[in-house]
Amino acid sequence: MIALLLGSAIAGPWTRTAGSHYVKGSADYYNTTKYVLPDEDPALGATGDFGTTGFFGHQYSLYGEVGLSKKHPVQISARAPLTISYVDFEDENAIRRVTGTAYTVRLGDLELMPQVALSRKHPIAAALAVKLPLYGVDSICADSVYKDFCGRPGDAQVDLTPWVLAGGSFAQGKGWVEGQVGYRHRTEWFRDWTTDRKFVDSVVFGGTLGGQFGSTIGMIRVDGNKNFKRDAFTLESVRVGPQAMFTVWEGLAIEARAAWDVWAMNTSIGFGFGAGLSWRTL
Amino acid sequence: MSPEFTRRHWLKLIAAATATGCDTVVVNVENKSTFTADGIPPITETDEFYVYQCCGAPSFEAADWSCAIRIRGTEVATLTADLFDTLTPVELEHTLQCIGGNPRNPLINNAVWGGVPFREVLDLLGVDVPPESIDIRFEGADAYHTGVPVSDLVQEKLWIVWQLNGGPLPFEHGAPCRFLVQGRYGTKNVKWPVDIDFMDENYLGFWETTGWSDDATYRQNGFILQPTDGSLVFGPEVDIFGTAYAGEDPVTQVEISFDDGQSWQNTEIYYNPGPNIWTLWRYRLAADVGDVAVQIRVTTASGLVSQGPDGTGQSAGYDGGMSVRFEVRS
Repeated sequence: MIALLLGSAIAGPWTRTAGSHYVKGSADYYNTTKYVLPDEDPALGATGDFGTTGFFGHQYSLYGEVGLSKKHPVQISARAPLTISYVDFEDENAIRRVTGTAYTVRLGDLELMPQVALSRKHPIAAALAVKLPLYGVDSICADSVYKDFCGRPGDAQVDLTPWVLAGGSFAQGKGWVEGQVGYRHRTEWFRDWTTDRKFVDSVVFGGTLGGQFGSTIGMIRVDGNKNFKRDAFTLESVRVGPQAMFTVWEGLAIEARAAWDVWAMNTSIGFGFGAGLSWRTL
Repeated sequence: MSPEFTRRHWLKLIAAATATGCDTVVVNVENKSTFTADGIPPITETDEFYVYQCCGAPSFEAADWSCAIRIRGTEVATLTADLFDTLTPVELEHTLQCIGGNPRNPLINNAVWGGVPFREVLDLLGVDVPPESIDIRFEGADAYHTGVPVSDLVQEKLWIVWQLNGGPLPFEHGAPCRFLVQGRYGTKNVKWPVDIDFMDENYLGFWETTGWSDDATYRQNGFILQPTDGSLVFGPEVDIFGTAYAGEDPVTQVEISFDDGQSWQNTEIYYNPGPNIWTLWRYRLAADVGDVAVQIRVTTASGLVSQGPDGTGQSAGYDGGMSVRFEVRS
């Protein structure tokens, strides 16, 4: 499975109150020529015989955060992507050698994340992320002999992830740091995927170091997950990259980001970049 | 992205953005087999015969090869390559198919093998198989192992062969010798045998313990070998051809559908010698320009009919009638 990894619905620890919001439309691109598998351990069922020679994907997404309460900071964030993927592959057997490209267009995972502040004085919050697949896997390239090569937006599974988020500022508020850690529970509720796979729960984490430089905000962001048990198909990765937000006018900003997979397992390892237009209340 | 991506494909992608999505697979094909305008050659060339090795190729000196024959673990005879010099090989046309073969990887070929029923070799070596024996455990020099019912030996379905298409058996096919089991998938056809044991119980081997069928009896199935799924072909006539097989159950009919199984037409069966040998079929389509979806259906003498294109339960072998989609241009 090759999943587009750029982007997530994770919000920061500064929980919004009613009237505060942030919305963004963005386009992300991802490119890789390598799919990482565990060592070829038959016990894990890994064969290494994936045959993909290149993967290029676009992802167009809408993201928003909105405060819900004036009494106490409570917000909900949501993200909905459309994914377009191109998988180059080679398939060789006794009778033929096939080179091909599989093109797939699908809505991705809808991510919903209600969040509540745990303190009025400090940026500490708790959240529950719910991942709802808007696609099914069985229908992807269903009529093709080469269906195994078609890109999938994800694993078609509902995930529940409770998060704890915390952060703090420095340099008179010009700089800040934040971090999140969560427990991703794989529910085994699949949408339209006939599989006996049982994905492994994992610890998920993220962090940002940011600073304001005039009207520009610069950040270094890390995201990742580590499974509690090694298997042959549950993805794990760590991704790092810079992000920037250029304020154009009042709350209107152009955002840009890039990210490298510095480590991955059971998924592609590559490079992504993206750009977006956002609006936020000041 | 080497294959051609046409305006038609872009239109499909754009349309998909609105609703449930869409997918397109575009391929370029380089055939390795000697397909002709008439179809697939009945006998596969030796260097084109598929090779599948679970455990890598073994390393041993041909002069040092021998195979222990045991009864309940006790060695009672030793088989060496000298014996083959004293035997006159009998030609046996026989199709081999991999139990893991599927529409993407249709591992099936047919050849003329040279050997004798293994029972004759045991007689020459003076091995008396105990009546209580149930399974024969085979182990290859590659450490692959599996079990075959003794009844296959008694019924002379179990052959030992040392020639392929009139020449010596190539190393990658098991030289100095290998076994063929009529009616059972390739998993039961051990190469480079080094140890054979007659057991009083059923034996589960390398693949069987991971869930693959122990019985491994061929299931009715059909492959379309040309055109390839996702390919571009040129009209006005398109030759469609492929294989059908069900092991000991002869194939009696191969039908083709262009409307997702709503209606069926007979194909031309041009090679159908009988049990344990593949059936080859072809169909000449007068095609209009555009997309074509093709599906086949295989019927056997016992009345078995192939399932849909996905088949049911790969662990017992593919039992589907394959489908392909291709684009015809003028």
